[in-house]
Amino acid sequence: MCRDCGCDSANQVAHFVQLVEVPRKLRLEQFVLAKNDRIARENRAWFEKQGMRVLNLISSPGSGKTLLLEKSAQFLRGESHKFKMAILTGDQEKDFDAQRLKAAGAEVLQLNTLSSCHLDASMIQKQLGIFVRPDLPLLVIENVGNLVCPAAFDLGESQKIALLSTPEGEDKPSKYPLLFHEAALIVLTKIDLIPYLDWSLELCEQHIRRVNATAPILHVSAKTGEGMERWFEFLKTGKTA
Amino acid sequence: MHEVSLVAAWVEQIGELAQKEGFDRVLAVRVKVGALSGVDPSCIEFCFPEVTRNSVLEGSKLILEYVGVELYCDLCHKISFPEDPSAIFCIYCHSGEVVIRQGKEFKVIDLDVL
Ligand SMILES: Nc1nc2c(ncn2[C@@H]2O[C@H](COP(=O)(O)OP(=O)(O)O)[C@@H](O)[C@H]2O)c(=O)[nH]1
Ligand SMILES: [Mg+2]
Ligand SMILES: [Zn+2]
Repeated sequence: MCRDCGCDSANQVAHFVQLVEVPRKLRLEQFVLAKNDRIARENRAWFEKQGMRVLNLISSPGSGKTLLLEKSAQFLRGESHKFKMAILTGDQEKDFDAQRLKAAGAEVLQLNTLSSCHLDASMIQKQLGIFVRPDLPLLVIENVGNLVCPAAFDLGESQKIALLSTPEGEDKPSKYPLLFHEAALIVLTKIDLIPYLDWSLELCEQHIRRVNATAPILHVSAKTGEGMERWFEFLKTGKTA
Repeated sequence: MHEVSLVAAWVEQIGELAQKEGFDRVLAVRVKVGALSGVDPSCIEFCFPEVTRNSVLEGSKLILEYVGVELYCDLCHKISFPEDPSAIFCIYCHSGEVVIRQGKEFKVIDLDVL
């Protein structure tokens, strides 16, 4: 063993070379997310070429993403091909959501992310032209329940939709500002529970407006059906008025 | 929340770079963490030694630089630096028509390599 540095080298020349090597600096104006951003851009180009609308639904676990989509699938089943929707649903484990959505008549594929807390663009890219057929007008992606990471991982979607259920309290938009800032539409879910909660719509909207001045805010209950017409209208036309 | 997978992504990408650029070891890695990135700096520090084990990053020094939010106002064209990252509106005219110019990033700036 060498007594200068403890290396195994008996080769003095090799060792000498190692000793005179000086550190150099490599500048990397490279995002850690760069790879994901590149694939997301490719996805977006593919979607645009097909004229496909893609919605990325993001919320905490249990906010009601799957139930909203079950009702949406039931509603759209009677509509013409123009309004056909397919769903990619993400969870770390299990395919319970896909089973629920299938039972509601949806065309759906479960994506399991295992240790990862969000979907990434490559998971979507693998399905383009396969599960996601080119003639599909609308693709809805139910992201893994999480308010942080999915906001940082672009999938190539046309719009991000943030869901917030009344039992979560009013202040989530201030605590998770990036998601609520980037959302093109904010859906307040489980409004049927308001009478049982100390939950203020006015306060909630104040928190939303601190981070997003313009996105339309819908109030829905997937359970009672209240407010769902506006959501269905958005699914069909992209408009909420 | 996804700190471990982000550090694992560096290990992969910097490992590929090591082959291309011809270095065997990283001595230091400098990273910018934006206030809106959703990345918890203490979480990165915590998992870094474990996730970088047996890679070119093993034993390297992690230097985290915190970046606050910078907004550009589309209405009054002023730049503002809100202290509270959850206040995404212009501090001058209170318009919400702002562009986030800084604060979302989580990126490796440079590496000292050998
Ligand atoms: N009362 C009420 N419960 C709801 C509503 N929407 C969803 N839920 C319930 O909330 C739970 C979680 O819903 P789920 O759709 O699985 O949420 P996800 O994790 O966001 O997909 C389920 O028990 C749903 O039945 C709603 O509008 N009102
Ligand atoms: Mg679900
Ligand atoms: Zn302004």
